[in-house]
Amino acid sequence: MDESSSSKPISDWKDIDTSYRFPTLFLVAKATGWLLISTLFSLLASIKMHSPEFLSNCSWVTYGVLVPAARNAFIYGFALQAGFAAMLWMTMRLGQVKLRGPGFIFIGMILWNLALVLGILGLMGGGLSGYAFLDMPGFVYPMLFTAYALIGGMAILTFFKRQVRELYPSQWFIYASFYWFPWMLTIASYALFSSEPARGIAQALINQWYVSGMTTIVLGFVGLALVQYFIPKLSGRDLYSSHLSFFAFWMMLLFGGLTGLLEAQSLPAWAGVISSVCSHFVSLAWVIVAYNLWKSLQGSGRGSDPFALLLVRAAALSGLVGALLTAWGSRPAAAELVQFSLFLPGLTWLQLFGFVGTLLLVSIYYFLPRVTELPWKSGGILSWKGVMTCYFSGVSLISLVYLVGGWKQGKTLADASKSFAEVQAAAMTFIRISTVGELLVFVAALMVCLKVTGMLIAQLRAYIQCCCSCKSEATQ
Amino acid sequence: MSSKPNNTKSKGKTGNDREPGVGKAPVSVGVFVVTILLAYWAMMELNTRAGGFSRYVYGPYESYAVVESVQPGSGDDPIKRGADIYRNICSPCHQASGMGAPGQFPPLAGSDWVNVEGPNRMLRIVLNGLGGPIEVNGETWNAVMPGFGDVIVSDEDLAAVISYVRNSWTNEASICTPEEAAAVRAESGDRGRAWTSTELLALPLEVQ
Amino acid sequence: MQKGYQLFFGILAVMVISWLGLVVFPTVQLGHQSTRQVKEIGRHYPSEPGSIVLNGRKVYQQAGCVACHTQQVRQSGYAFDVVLNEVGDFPDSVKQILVDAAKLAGKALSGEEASSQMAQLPSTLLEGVDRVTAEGVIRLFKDSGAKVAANILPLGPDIQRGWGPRQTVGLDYLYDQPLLMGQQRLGPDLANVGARLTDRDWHLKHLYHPRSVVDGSNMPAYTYLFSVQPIDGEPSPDALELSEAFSAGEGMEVVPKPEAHALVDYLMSLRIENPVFEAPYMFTQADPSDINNSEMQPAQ
Repeated sequence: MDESSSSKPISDWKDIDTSYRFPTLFLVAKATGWLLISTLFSLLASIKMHSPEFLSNCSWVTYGVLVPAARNAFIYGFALQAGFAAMLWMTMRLGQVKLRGPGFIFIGMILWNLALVLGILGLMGGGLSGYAFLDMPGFVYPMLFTAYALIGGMAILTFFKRQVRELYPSQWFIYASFYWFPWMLTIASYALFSSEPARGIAQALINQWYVSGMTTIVLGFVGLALVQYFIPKLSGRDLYSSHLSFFAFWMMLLFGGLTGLLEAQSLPAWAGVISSVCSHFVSLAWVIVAYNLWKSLQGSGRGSDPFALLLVRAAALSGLVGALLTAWGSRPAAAELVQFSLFLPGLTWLQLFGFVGTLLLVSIYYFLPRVTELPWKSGGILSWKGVMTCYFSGVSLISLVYLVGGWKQGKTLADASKSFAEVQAAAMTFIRISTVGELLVFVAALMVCLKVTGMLIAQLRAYIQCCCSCKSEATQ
Repeated sequence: MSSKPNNTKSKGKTGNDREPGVGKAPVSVGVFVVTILLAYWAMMELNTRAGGFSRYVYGPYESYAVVESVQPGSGDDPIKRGADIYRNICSPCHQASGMGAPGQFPPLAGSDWVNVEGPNRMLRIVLNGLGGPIEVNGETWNAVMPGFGDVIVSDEDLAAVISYVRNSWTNEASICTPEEAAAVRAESGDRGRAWTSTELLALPLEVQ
Repeated sequence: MQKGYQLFFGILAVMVISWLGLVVFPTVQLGHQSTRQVKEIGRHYPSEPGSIVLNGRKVYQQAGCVACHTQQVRQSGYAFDVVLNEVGDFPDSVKQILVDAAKLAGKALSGEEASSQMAQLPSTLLEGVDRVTAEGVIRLFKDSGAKVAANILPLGPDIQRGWGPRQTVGLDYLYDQPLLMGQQRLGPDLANVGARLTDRDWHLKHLYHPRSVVDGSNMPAYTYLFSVQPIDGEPSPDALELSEAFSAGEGMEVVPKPEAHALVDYLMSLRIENPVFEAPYMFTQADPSDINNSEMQPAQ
């Protein structure tokens, strides 16, 4: 690929990338910090699942508190912050435009993290709200919204100033995600936390609407934007068809609102059927995306970075399998078995950690050196290859163990002749194995955190050196 | 994944930083066909399994009517029981709507023979039948109705169908008890010929 | 879709559809329900929880019990018991109909068996038959003078386990703020726990140390809800009577804090014994003790 094929002189990339340096570096550093916290909580919770005496005398770390704390730290701490960084990167790169208002993004990020610290502490200290994915106390959401308005507002401003007017498919997904999140957050937090909240069982539907929107649309679209960006980018080929992407995009947006709700869930029959129908459309959209990616990859070589490409493909596969299993699990016969079992957390692992998480880590690996103009420090076990192998094998292990274990647990649960002790026993072996996976993911998160911190320190040092030399030049 | 320095690339020295382009391959017909089939299936699902989007239809029950019919003790409800009998015996002439047929069968819905204090006259019509002209809601009808005394043998059923008619459509009148039905049957059950409207109008409204 | 504003309005339109269909519609349809008079229990259902129960609910919410316990009973199907309540004035024809009815349900019934069924009333003629059969049988008895009824029988593993006599429906959660119906069953369902487990001491011991009452349970101990204190003269009347292996040690006693009592009050208030229109079942006063046969029976 010679340079003349780019529509813009490549020397400009440097300006673009560096305009983005500090907000991104801090966003990524904070995100990986939250990833570490999340995986630590998750590891502790996993141990508590089979060893109930572990840390049992403290109300701050009951199993029921650790699980939502881990989930929220992952979603709001890691996935959304790393997602902001990745989306800003793609906005600038695909639009060939400098970042607007990095200062606002910086302030927004600080507010976001402040809200999150208060929220997680509030959650652990007795403010657990009880709503999935909205487990933090109600006062956090206006803060998150304000912080988001600053970050997302700047992203949209940057988007409107783009120099390349033609939109690449990833950009649709990014903007759907950017718009959907604040609307969804406002509606759901207003409906659930206002002074006149939704009553009774309506809360379940609104909550599931939020969970589904978060998984399929907000975070799912970040993942889909990244996968459709990285596959052509790393393989050096064009995306096969924008029309296929277009088709899948609208189908997913239209039907992504209520997936994953199972039938016979104390809700009228229509709710489960609607959700089942939506899950099927989303999985069809996923098949179309996968076909598009597969066609793009056909006949390509090993690409510039074979391991990264392999990871992106593995992540895409996780997303596809997750969507197909969600649709399968919503069929009445299957729902009877998988409902209330570990199968659903298994799906969450597959979709959030396997699909979105892997892609976000690949994006951090990919753009951070370009943004900071510093290489990753290489070194033995700390190499990205080691880190990502550790992460992805851990996530695959947990997903697999939860899916299979959940299915087995559900099957025992559906057999009324088996006592509940037998139901527990059916899942226990799998739960023990999952702790190994949790440990792997935790170690990977720790290493990512170290790497990013190393990068941050190196960047700060370079910045200070630069300042000093500038000063000394000025004084001479 | 290589951990060797990437910064050379970010300076744009290699072609790797070309942003991805996108092809314009058309969406194949197969995709549309599958989508349409899925949409068709989805409509069928919503049609058959969503319980008419009612807030009262849950889980294994197919529709509101099913939930209603499986209520415990619903078999004892005279109005329900009456509805069954009405459907079998009365609706061929008086119609399920209770509106009768113009010129042939007088209406029961809103009729001034139904919406009266007692079921005395109605019971007699159903037991022994009616002949000759009859004025209903100011309109004169000339029809013959057979008696159903030996078709509806149980007094409870007789009371049930009368109660149903008196409380359906726009009608609002008292329930007929099996005792009232039994009393009228004892008095006129073996009368052997139909009533005329003049005879009936001479009788009291309520069962004595 | 090459323009930013087209994209924006497209996404906005989808959002509005999603919001109207999946937030506004359910809020109106399900959130705006009101309590209902249930004739079997002679009062409005559900009733507003008292302040102690609400405190206990708060403890339940804060400890994240919802991560392992559901409060929803599923129902996978339903069947009918056909019951003969009264024979009426024509025993001979009823006897013949009994034989026919058995045939309709695919069973053989002799004349003597039919007589014995008629001798003891109410007698169950058919157990667990489907709706079509039940309706067919009832039609046979029409005009015979006999009184038969089809009693609905909710089916499903949860119900067979004794977790509740019927499925849970939206009405049951009318006062649940926030909703704590749960998605995971690492522990048993609690929708009807107040009717299943009626021993207050058992609940307290179970919270203090689950394995002291249920062998092999993997529920964590909620010891922070209890204070372990030295016995000051007389032992407190409230202290738990724990077995040797779980006692707090010589001269010490375990006294539940108010939070523990509130939580137990909340648990014991969880009941779904009354039928509702959406989830009918044959309610008899004897039922609550009948269904008290779950495997999580208090250890004696």
